[in-house]
Amino acid sequence: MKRRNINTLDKELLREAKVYGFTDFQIARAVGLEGEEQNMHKAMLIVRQLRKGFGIVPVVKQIDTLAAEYPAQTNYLYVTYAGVASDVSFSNDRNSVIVLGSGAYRIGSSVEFDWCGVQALNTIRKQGYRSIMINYNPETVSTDYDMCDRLYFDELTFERVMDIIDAETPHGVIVSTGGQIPNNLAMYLDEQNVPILGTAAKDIDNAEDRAKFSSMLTENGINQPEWSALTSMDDIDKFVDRVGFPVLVRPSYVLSGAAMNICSNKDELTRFLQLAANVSEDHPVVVSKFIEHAKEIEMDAVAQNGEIMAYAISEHIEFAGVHSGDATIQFPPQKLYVETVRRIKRISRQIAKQLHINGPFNIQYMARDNDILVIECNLRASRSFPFVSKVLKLNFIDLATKIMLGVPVEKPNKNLFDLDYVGIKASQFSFNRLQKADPVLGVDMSSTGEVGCLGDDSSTALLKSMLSVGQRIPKKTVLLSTGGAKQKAEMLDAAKMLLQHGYELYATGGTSKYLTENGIENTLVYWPSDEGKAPQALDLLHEKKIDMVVNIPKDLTPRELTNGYKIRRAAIDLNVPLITNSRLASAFITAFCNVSMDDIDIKAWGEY
Amino acid sequence: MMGYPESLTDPSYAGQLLTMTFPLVGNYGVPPFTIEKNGIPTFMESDRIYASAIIVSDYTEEYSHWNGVESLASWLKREHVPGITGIDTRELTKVLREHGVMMGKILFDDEPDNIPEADYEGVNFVDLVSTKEIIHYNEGAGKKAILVDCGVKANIIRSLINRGVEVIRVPWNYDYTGMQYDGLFLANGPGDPDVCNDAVEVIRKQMNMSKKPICGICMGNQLLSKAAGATIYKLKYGHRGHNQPVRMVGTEKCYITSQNHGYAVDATTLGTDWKELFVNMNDGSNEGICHKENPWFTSQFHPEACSGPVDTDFMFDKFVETLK
Repeated sequence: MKRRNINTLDKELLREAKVYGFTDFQIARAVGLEGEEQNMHKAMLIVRQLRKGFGIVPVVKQIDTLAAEYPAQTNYLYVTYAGVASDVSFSNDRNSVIVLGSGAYRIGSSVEFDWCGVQALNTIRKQGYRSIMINYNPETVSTDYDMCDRLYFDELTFERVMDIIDAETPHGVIVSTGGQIPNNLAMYLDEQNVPILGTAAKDIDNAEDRAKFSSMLTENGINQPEWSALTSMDDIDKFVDRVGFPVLVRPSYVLSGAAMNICSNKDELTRFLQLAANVSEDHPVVVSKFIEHAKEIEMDAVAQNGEIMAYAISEHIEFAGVHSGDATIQFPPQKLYVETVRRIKRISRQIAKQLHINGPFNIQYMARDNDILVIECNLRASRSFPFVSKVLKLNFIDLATKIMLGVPVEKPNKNLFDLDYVGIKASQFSFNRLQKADPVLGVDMSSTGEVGCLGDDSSTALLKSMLSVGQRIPKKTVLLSTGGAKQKAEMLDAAKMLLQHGYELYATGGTSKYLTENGIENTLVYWPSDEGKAPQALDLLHEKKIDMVVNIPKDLTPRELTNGYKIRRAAIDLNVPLITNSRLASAFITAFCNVSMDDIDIKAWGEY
Repeated sequence: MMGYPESLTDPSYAGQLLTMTFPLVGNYGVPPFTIEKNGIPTFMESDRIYASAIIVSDYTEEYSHWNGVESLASWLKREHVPGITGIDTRELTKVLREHGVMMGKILFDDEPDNIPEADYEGVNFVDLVSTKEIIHYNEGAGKKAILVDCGVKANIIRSLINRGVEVIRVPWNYDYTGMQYDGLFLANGPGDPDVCNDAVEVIRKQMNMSKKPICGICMGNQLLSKAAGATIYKLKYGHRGHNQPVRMVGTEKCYITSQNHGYAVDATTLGTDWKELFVNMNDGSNEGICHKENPWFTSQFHPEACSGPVDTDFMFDKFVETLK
């Protein structure tokens, strides 16, 4: 094939390549289109056009464990070029709706999006359409073939999705319930005149493209952390000189949390940029001001023609800087100013209107005092949709799907401030399976699961959810290393509370000094780097004399990192409960000091 | 997928174009066509390819196997048997499933249809593939079994002689009732059992004469059932392949079996002295019968496997046990 070009590529060779499973993208590359076209998507479209011109289109087969010996009933389909006829027929009545799934489970995209996809399928069926799912993850509910009228167990690539759309000629395609993978396909599908249900692809792009989104915010007087897409180290230095450290650094057009980092000094910035990104004209790096000690707030909502029909505001227990997938989330919010909530609602309404949102969306906010900044906005269901839907007992996806299908809906009469219970979602981590990984939380997501629990108050709900993700209430001893001055102060009340409840406190150097100065009795223990001195923190851990470790990283100096890392890692390896965030530690300590296990009521979801 | 050397040399496929539902075929080549001293091929199921052609989805040209000595294509060429690749065998299987077994030809788009029409109906394939003379195996070994050759697979003979039995292989319609023997084994074979009434008559004669053990496989099951008064019908969906589940009647025991048949015994028409021994778990059709008193029993599936699972080779053990 490499000896051909696009004009000399004949039908038989192209067919053979397709039968062997080569993608249009790979074929475009093989025939040298990569050099001729400015982008590979265009190159791929040229191959696609040629292929369809030759009549080389795939057929749809059923996964059939009896090799066609008996008529297969399994609604389990795949697409192949190695066939002459499809196992299913296509009615062309435009009465089906395709939902794009979330693909393989991985950190950042998991069962939450699967729930969203399944809810969309249910609503599509109830509204009298045939539901079609495209997803390729066997461990999901959406790939249970009873969940839909047709299940395509296949790739979520542009090529494959387009081929299925060509075959099925659906009424529409839903791209907003499967997370970022389908969301990223929106623009490409729209270019091919695919009927995308819900918010228009153009508006999705206006939210995804940082520059467009940013100028829209500015035009509407909405604040955001100061940022810039920069292509040289000089520019980055100039920007940082102006806004000051710390800064959040990330490659442009990646909002999922990959390769992001917070840098709090020049050294860190240089080190990170050398490690993670090659700054160049083609690959600008987005640097934004990072605001410390700010609250992070999530707005999950459903809009119809730019008007919000239902919303849920939830707050992170941790301060901004912990990825929303890792954060402990509280809904309804318990500690937000009424004014903050009012402003968030107002800004959300503005954004929904500007982006003509028609379906689910999520906006992340940062708030310090009543200063509200927009971090990002996704015109799709977010991973907190199932959580808020269950806490509020209002199925956001059902509502969103009806809106996307154009079914008339009424504004649900549900107010999050009327709830007389609290929901808290805690994250599950798998650091014990990730040997040598540093179990600290940052802007990159690292949780592998989560549990949402309801309680009559914050403490009960937090206790339930923390215990559900594997934390344990310490019996007698707690080791504290509480980071910088601000965190030390935050943890003071919690430390007092521990002492009052009969816990023995151990503390490393700075923390011990701080606690003693504040009249809190504690035992000094030494860092691993203080060789020869006793008692050593690591020894105590190994001797099982510590029941819980609170270790908050102060800064990113090598000494801090190594010492803290050794203690954190030892806690994980020895299965001692570990908390690395001062806000979460305070909340958890407050919860288990004030609520006893006997006070935790066991109630079904429906009983709240 | 494995099994093509055995299937191609299985006389039950005489006169048939064999379609493989598994897409990748040829990957392990073909074992050597060596013949043992006793005249039985070492790895194959008979002396040559019996299928008229093989149809595959994706032929693997490069083979790799410790026992492979040539490619499938080279073997087919040597035996002048056509093979075709690049066919949507899933679709072909569906067509065959819906319409039943049908006559077929391999034609090329750019060649005229000058292949003559073949006959299948009315051809007695059993007569074509059965031995024309009596052959003795393992002479003097011990108990003697008459093997009625309707198109026997080599592994049935191997299974018997490996259990220390002397095998006397006779033509399908041979009247062996006057011979000296301890038991009767009815082998597999191609086609419609209703063209084998001569064999049925001999079996009836034998059953009237003595209670000597009788075991049958596949065609053998159908012939014994006919002798027991049952009728045979054509299955809508024939049973083919290595993964056919059967249950032993009256037990919770299930077996995965190798099968190749398009006809089945109507168990409701069995005489009152008989009962069902096995049923198919997919469609409930009969998979074997047994006499209520005499050591007469059969299976519709292939306990000799080759190819396929060997879970049911106890059938041979039972037969050898009952030889007195």
